[in-house]
Amino acid sequence: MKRHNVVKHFISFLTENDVAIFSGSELCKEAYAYDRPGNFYLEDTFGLAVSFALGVALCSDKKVFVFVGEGDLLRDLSSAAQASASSCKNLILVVLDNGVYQGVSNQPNIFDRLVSKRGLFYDMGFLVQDYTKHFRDSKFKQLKNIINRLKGPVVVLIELSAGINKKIESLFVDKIEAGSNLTEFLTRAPKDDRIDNKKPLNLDQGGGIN
Amino acid sequence: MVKATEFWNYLCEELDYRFFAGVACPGLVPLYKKMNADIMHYIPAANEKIALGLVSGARIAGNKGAVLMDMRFIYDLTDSFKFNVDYSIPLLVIGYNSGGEDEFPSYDFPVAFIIGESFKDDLNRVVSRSEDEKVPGLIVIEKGGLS
Repeated sequence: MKRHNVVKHFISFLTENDVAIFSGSELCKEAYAYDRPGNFYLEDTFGLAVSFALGVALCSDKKVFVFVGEGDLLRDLSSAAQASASSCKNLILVVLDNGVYQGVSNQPNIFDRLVSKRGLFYDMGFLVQDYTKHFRDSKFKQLKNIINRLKGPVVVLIELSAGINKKIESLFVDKIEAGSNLTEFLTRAPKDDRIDNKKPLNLDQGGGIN
Repeated sequence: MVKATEFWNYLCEELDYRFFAGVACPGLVPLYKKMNADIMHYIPAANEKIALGLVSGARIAGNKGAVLMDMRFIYDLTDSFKFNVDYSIPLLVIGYNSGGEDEFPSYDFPVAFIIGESFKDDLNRVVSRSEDEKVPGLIVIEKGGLS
């Protein structure tokens, strides 16, 4: 399955309280086609997507999904280690693995040469879930149930077929407005009364000073 | 010379900065020693860029914060600051400077060099401009400036 299809389905699995952060220009364009409150787009990734998402997750009780390509993640693997070390239960790192840099004429990266992709994240301390087969076999109802029950820190690995949907339009997002929209989304009264959105800062995670 | 306890009390309780992330720096040891978990949260980060991402994410979620670091590594954040400017996410960088002012690049951000008792005025000035303009603010601790 190509990435834009996986993104389309994955977004449909999210609840209205979930935050979804997308990293990289092509991935952002694909996700923006299914825009929803709680989506946040980091077109120029700056290599900050995972640590930014972790900061959001540590200060909110909303579930935070961060979607990154494997090439993007390889540039700053230490951010994955930081996420794992945080033991942050509401952070889900979704690694969309097509084995190449799609935006750069499908230039290969080293992710496929790793002895064990799962092992890389498992040894950092993540729970690792591979949903490649679920997406390939279109087990969407099952996937939705599993994804809604996920507790972090977890890495979701999905292997994809290379290919960009060229029909998808460019992304026109006012970044300043996007930031304030996300703040409003994170601090608004929760739909679910059981969720307290404002997490106190005496966090029992993140390797704090206590 | 600024007392670390006084610095934290003012920054956390008066200015409401509560979320901190950073990379260990020998010049900031007095600050580490006087961290108070009752009024703040600190996360040791794998590198300065990650610290900046953490603090930026915390800010988007409504918590003001700062990155603690050695100013020698400020160059690593030059690209990342563009993220804060683009998305209007203000934060503070509290950095230790063992050299002169020329040791790090000049940015069009508010900067204060903390060396003495006037630190509250300096902090107020940087915080005020950082918040108004929604840009990073640099608090530079000079060698021997902390106790």
